[in-house]
Amino acid sequence: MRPRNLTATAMFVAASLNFALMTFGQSNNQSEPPKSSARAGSITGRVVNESGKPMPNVRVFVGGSGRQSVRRTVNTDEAGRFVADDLPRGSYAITVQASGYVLVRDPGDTIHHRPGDSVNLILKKGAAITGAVTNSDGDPVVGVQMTAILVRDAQGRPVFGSYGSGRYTDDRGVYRLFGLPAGTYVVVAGSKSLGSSMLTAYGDDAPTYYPSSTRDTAGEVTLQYGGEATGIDIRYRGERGYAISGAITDSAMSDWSNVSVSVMLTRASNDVPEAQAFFQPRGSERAFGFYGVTDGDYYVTARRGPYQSDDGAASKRIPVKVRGHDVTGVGISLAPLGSIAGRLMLDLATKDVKCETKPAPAVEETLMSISSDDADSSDPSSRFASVLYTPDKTGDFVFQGLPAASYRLDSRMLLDEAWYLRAMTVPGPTNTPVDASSRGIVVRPGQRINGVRFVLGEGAASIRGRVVAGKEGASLPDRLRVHLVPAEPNSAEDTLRFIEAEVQSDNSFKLLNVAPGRYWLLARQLPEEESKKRLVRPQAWNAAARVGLRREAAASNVAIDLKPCQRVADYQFRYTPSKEGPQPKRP
Amino acid sequence: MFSLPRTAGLAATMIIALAATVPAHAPLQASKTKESTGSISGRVTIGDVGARGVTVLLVSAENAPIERPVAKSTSDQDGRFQIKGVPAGSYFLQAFAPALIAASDNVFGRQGKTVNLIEGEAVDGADIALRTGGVITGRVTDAEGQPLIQENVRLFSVLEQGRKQAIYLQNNLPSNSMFSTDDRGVYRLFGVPPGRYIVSVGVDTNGPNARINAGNTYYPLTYHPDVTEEGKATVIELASGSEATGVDIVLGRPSTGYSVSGRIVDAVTGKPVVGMMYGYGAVDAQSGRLNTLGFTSSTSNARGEFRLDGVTPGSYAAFASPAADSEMYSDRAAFTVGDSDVSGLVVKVHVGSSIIGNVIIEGADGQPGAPRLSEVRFGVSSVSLNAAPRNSQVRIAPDGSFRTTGLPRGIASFIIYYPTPKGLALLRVERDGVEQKNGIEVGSGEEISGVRVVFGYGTGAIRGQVKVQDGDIPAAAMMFLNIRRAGTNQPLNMRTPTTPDSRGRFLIDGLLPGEYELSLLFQTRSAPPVAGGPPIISRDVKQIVTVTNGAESQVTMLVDLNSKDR
Repeated sequence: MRPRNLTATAMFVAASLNFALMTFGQSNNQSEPPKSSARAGSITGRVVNESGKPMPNVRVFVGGSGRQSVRRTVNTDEAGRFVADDLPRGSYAITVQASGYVLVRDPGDTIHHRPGDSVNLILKKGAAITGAVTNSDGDPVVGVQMTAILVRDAQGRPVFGSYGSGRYTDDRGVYRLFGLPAGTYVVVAGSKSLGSSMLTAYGDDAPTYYPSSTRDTAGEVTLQYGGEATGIDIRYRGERGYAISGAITDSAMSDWSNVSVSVMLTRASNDVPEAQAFFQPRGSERAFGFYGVTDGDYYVTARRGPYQSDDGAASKRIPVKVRGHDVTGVGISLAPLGSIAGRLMLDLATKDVKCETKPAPAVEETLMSISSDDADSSDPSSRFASVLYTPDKTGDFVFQGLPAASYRLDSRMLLDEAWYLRAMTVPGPTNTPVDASSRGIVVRPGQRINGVRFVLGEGAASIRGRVVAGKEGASLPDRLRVHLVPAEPNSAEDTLRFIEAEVQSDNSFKLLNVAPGRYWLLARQLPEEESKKRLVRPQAWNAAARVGLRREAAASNVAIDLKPCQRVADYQFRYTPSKEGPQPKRP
Repeated sequence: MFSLPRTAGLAATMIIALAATVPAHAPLQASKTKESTGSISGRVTIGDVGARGVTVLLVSAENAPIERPVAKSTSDQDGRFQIKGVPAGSYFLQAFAPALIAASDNVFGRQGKTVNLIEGEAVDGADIALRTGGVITGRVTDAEGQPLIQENVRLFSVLEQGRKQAIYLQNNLPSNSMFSTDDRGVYRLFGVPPGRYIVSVGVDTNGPNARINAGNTYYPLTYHPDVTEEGKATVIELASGSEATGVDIVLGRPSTGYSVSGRIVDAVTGKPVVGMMYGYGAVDAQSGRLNTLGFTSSTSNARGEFRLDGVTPGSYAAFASPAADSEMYSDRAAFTVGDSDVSGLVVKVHVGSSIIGNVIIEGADGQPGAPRLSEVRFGVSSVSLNAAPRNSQVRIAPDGSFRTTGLPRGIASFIIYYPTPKGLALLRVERDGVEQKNGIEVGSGEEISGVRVVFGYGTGAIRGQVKVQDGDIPAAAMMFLNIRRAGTNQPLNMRTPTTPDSRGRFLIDGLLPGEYELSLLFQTRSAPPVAGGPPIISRDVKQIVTVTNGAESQVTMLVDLNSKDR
């Protein structure tokens, strides 16, 4: 399973395993420490509930992120333990599945582990929402699909998650959605966001949100783990929605056999999926349609399989406005997918800097990430493209199946705190390496870019700490981010040294895998237009934003010199709202 | 010869003597250019009383049932509904009422009725009689009283002599929505016909069951209230429209499955095959084929080793699962699980044979609407009881050439895939210009070239009418048509529906020219069967029909319900 709601923030906040264990150890004193006799080549672990009781027979997925990835599915024993053995060196994502329960990680904790690691996982009982759906006559609405849409997480940050696949109202109109992560939800009868393969009477209806509303006026339901919201009754409106229909063209495709096409309808304001349709083209019929759509601004995006290879195709986002009538004739053209390939190298030559920790990681234990830097393209992290990647033994990597767009690659999500990203280059006109860190890498339709170089150096520093309000008794604004801004006079364009991380709900932050040097520290609120988005892109990706950050950081002048391998702990950062930055606002 | 009338009244012209062949052809109509004027109306009743506010859906019978409805109507105060503007075609009319029970007119048990409409026809009396469904509800807990979440409940109907039959409620909801317990362990089955039932959860270990990734332990099949012996299960007597509550199931201790391990090796070199996906399947005692295939999400390790956990007693075969485009195929490694773990299995993978050839469509030249090569989907498989099944779909290049690989030794057969473009049929397979009637013999590691796969395109049709000798078609009649090319055993891979409607009408189009044998199964019963009803009469009527391109062959199939013989 791939983390669907991974934000760019998470990519920038790496957590070493030691830290993860330390945190679990503190929060979960009554549980035994995991087996220390873990063989090299195995990832072992233990799954417990929130009171530390072992969870037997839980399915644990251990999946490598590379091209020739190894996958294991193991089950926990009576003591909640699991072992995934014989794992080649690499980085592995660990996820679990236990009906009705949710795997809860500390914010910013990595899901990636290396052979030899031991992992403690905590499952919490998911929350439930229940109620009845009736029509205007008060009769039960039977067999309508129910969905709980997570709009904000337990920390109040905007997220997206759709829950309730396969849950329908019963003969009394009663529904029950369960296994939900803590957070704030809207509840909807007849949503198309999960798709459906069943014949239904409600397909043309506009969805009705709790209590009897449209999306904009929907009532919100906030849930804690193990909690239950009852009486979330919906008066079903049953109003006909509008249709968005059109056809798909694909110049590169002569053989439409054995392919599937996915069409996605997302809300333009926040990129949240509204409806999706999968179909296998039949003969020359390549028509698509969404039904029961309400007024609003949308994007339609299509992709054709095979989804994770260069043989697939993708469209640009097609804006569609629905204003009181059906929209027909939407043309979507599919263009070939491209790829970005290259090599990641560890700079082992700089022997002078050696943090005294473990032996150097192998390249195949590093993790790389990719995200779109382009507002007009479809988000590669949505559904299909692999956003995380582990290079092979030689350091070679390839991100395949990329729709034409500008991309940002990163490898700061390392599993080893001693290393940092020193250089990122692409081949220039005369094959001389050109810096690729300050701009994105542009992939044109079907283009295969080769020769990207990543160089990791040893001697990274880190800062862990807490943000406190500048004035006694004042509270911190929402969505605060901490930035490290390079402070040397000629480092304004040194993009790799702009590091940022979101401040967590306990006001803690961590800035890891930082190149040594002189920095300014700065905390500021996420700009309002950014805070609505599902995927927060690092501010420093934007050249103008870098200039702004430098100016602001220089003005507040909180400087820090980070020596190679330096670990700064318990750093207290005093936050005072900037005069030029956005003013903090409490809701 | 007579031409087909565009409006209603066709029935009057359909009284044709029961002849062996009816060479009556009518030119096919050009595609519809104006607004359709056909309509379908009827009345929805629940227990003979008109039912208000019931949604009636009309779906195209030519497409899969997942298609969105062609039209939708809601019944009025008296239960009446009308759907207008319906183009000619084959449809399925049904109520969307998951808590209610409707009759089925087809052998597939799908609730609703077939309507075969001609252009401009007004069909009245397409009535839908519903019955109130019953409810069975309860809670599933383990020995400690903890709920079992998302556990699948199974419902069995208790028949005479204590036999049981698994019941799947065909009510347009995904089955897991109703049969799966919630976070309290509660399930609620609705729309259940009256009858005698037993309810269970857990794994049926009487038949082999290739469980995958489902844990080392499992709950053995356990019936309400808390028994594993079927004979001791409490039978629920469900009266029409009643609700049986407290149908709880308390489970005992979970059982532990066995682990099965072995290695995947290259058949030639004996070297371990690393990182390959694998699975296993239950071996069917009669046919020797694998059923209930399970593919793990794991891969073999650096020594080629694999492991399956939680396997229940039975006879199985393990296999490797090479990628779809791989040249490899896997042997089956048979094993039996009794009361202990199994180890030391060896699964061999081989380089398979390939077939290289090209595809042509005869009769498609210059025909508007004829399928293009890119729309043809077919597969090649050589079935061998020693080899594991693999994906057989063939990719056709734009010039019609294809290459398929990974075939085990055996007889390669060619099949056209559903959904088949209208009018397309697989005619023959040639090798070096010689027709291969019984498939192509494939050896080991062979590369077979010079294969030609010939599809045909046809525009013929059969329009028919089922009539009952000296009477009308009974309301509860169930009809099913089989069609095959005369002189062959292979039923056609039908794109069009094969259920005549309640008036006995049917249309089968997209046929290649030639002689066909139509075979009608006619039964005077409805599904679900009504207890204590009249005895069921069953008749089988056959007829040969000649089809030519671009024309409709008219046929009447006469059923004699009074004759003694079947």
